[in-house]
Amino acid sequence: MFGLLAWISYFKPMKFITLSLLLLFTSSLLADIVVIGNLKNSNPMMSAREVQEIYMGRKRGLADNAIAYPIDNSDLRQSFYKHLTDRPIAQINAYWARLKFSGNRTPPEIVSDTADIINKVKANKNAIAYINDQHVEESEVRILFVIKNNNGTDKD
Amino acid sequence: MSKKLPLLLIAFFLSPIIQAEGQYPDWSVSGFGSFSYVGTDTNSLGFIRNRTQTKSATKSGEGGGGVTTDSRLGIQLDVDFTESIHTTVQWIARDHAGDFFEQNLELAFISWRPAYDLDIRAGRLALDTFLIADHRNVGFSYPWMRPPHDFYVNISAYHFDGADIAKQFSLDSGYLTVKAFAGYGMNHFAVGLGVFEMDMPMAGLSLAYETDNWLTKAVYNYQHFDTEIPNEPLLGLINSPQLNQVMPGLSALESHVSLKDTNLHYMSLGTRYDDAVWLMHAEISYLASDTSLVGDVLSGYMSVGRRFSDFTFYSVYGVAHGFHKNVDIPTPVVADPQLLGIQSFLDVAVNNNTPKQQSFSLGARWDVHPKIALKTQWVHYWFEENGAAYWRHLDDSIKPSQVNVWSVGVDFIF
Repeated sequence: MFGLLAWISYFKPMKFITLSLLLLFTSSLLADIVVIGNLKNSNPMMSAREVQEIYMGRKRGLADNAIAYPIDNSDLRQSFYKHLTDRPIAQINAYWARLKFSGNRTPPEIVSDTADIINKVKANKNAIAYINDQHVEESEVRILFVIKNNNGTDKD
Repeated sequence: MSKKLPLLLIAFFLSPIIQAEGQYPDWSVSGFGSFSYVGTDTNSLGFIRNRTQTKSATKSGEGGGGVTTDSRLGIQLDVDFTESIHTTVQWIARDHAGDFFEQNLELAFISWRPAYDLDIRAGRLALDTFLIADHRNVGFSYPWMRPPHDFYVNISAYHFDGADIAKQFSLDSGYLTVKAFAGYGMNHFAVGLGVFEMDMPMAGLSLAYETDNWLTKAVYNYQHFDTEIPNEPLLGLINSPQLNQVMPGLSALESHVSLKDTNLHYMSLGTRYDDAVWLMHAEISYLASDTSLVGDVLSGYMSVGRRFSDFTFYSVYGVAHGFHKNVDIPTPVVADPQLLGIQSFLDVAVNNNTPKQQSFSLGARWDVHPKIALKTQWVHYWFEENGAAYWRHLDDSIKPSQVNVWSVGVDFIF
């Protein structure tokens, strides 16, 4: 994509559009990833370890002992797991292949549309998902954890 | 594929006990596969991945294997009826003795999760006796072409029909899972005497402790043989009055060629470490058996791998050592070639069932896509005398003491 933008920038009349697109991509890439839950989710703010354990299938219970329902965001999946586990997505897939095809665990549902993800979290008290912070309406969902994407540090 | 048909069929049968809520029922279809080629440098021994296989890989392809040895395609249907009731059905196309549909139905169970840390499952379940036993068909989940041969070729079954219950405990920085299982295995095997159905009640207990990078598992598994191998040809020879006259003491071998009503006890300890760069697996097991056809076996392996970006390079050392003592086959009183042939045949049947082999492997995995991996592996095997018990004996020639096996393939999930 950046190659395409560089190519477009050779045409002076297009410079404004190029700059706008670049800013759009940059802001998207630098956006924080927020882990969200249902408004009725009684969990306090979660730690990176708790989020990791739920998304790797080791921990299944929430604070109220309900069974967590994690949702993967296909657009952010690679970045999310890289921050959380320092593993590339091929390793995450291999890890879940072991658990899923032995019949032991069900991996997080993968959803591609942010609006769908938010709707699923709103509809299910035990759902946990992650989206870009630009899409969060705190009147709709609870923020449980934030992954700072621009400098790699997390805030609890 | 119609999304509604399988769902409706299952929902129809389970609807009386299920009250659908919100997003449920929710279902998905997924799968895994491997396409590989295996070659060796001998024609007298056939390489098999598992004793259930009917074909074996050889130098010239006479064993009929090669492509079928490591290739398979699995498809899985998962249905969540509620947040705590789930069903899984998995079928795998692969080389397996017996009925192609029934024996390849690997999973077909319903699970109930009454609490977040408690699982109860009933139906057809994968045998969970060792570290990799319940996902050994899923090549994409491990670095090798196949689980270490010295250890896993002898695991007597892929699945059983029964139930298990697993309880998870939070312990220090990890999770301890205690699982008990019991059921009945009906698995078909290919042996030198033909294909036979091995029916066996079984029960076991496993403890698994998992932290970020470690998984350690200890298992005890008891199995009892309810059925007999097709030993009629052997018994016909052993109990022949004429043969007993020229081979005195032959009838004393009868107890050495029977499996029925004997017991197996598996005890194993395994651990896996994976920090995203380094990868280590190690397992050791002791198999205690009442019969010479199986014998007591100590086996183990250690594998170390290192990842470099999308590449994983690994080595494996494996060993399987049987403690079966050689049974003397009576020597014919006259050196008749036909009688010497019978003596040789009985010697193979009685004394070639206990392994004495070691192996060393080098291999590589290349993750060309998040769901596709290319693999290659070279394995060198050493055998002691009569030690190639985990191989098909394809002719009467003197067996080699060393064999090379190489393989290339692709593993994927979808």
